[in-house]
Amino acid sequence: MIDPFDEATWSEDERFYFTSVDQMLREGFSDDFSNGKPWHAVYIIAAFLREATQCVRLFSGKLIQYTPDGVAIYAEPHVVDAAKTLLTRDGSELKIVLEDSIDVDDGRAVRKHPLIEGVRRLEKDGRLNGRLDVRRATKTDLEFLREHNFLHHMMVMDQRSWRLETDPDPDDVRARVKIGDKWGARTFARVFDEVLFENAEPVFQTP
Amino acid sequence: MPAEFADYTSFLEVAFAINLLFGGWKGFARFLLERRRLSFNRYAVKTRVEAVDDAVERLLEEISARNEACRRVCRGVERWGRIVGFVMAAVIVAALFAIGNREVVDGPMLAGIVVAALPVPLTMALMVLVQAACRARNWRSYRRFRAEARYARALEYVLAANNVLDVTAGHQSVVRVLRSIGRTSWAYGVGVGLLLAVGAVILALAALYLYLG
Repeated sequence: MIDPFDEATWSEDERFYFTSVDQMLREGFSDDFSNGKPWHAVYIIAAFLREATQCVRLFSGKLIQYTPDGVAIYAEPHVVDAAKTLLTRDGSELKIVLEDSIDVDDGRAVRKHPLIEGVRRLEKDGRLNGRLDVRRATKTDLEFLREHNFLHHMMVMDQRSWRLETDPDPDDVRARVKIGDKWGARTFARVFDEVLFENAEPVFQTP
Repeated sequence: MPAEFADYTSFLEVAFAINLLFGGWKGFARFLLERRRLSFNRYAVKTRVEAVDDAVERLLEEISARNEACRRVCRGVERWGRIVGFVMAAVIVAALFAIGNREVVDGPMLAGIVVAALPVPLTMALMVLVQAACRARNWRSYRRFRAEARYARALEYVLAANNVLDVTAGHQSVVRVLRSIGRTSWAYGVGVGLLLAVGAVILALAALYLYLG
């Protein structure tokens, strides 16, 4: 299985993809490119969290820990570390809106999710300088987005880059990424803030 | 134009025909792109945005008309309250003169004084009631207004976000079309190259035949 954080597992195609993504992130600009495979997605998610300086907005299904194929997404230590890196920055924000209830084992508390657990540990160590706010979208808002053909999971980094899942079918994820697209990122951020985040019900918030 | 033109016997005419087909394909691709670009302006959604905008405007007009009516009623009540209050004040003064230096104010006289003093507080109470009723009605309109305004804003943002996606998809289709044109050009180039090569070989063979023969 391909591990995006272990070069030894990369094929030539994957090496080209990951090195291209790194280069585009360094340059801060890219055309939009495909990002559907789970290991591609997790690489971009970690990169966005790590590189962001102000705010990352994330609209996700349920912050899945692992895909059905066993690829770690939000349970991936690099993703958790990247989120912690973001939240050590002064005034940083990680805003998350979920479509369903958060992905934890039945009966376990929300704070047992690896991402939230990581942030809580950061808080205990006194290194938390940002704010994590996890909410659940209301049915009305989801219905509104569905009605207007825009129920896309998305991630917006600092209002300058975005990742958008263009296929609403969770089993067949097709996603696109664009780095350095302020217009697109601002537009998606407005949808996130004004349509999803404003009315969403709080799930977990750091002080 | 030479008489034998368009009998497709000469190489130049074949090349011309290929160019014509290629030009047609490029024109068709351009048409597809243009149609895609035009579809960015989602007419139906735009109409909905305009409808919501109209609803918001109507609600604002409704609220300001009600506020104006409320102000008018309050001004009227105040004016009549002042007149009645002034009359009553005069009555009280007259009554006090009538009482003169009587030490005991009896029941009917006391009641008269109380009734005479009522217009001002009554007017104030009435104004408060009118304003409260107006506020209560406005509150419902405000709530509807807020909901409509939020809906309009959300609609506008989603429309814009859909446009970003359309542009992205449009960009993809441009890339696809350019690639396909590139492939066609490449195939065209290879085809022409092959034809030239075949022609050169035939010429070489013919020259060889002539030379040897």
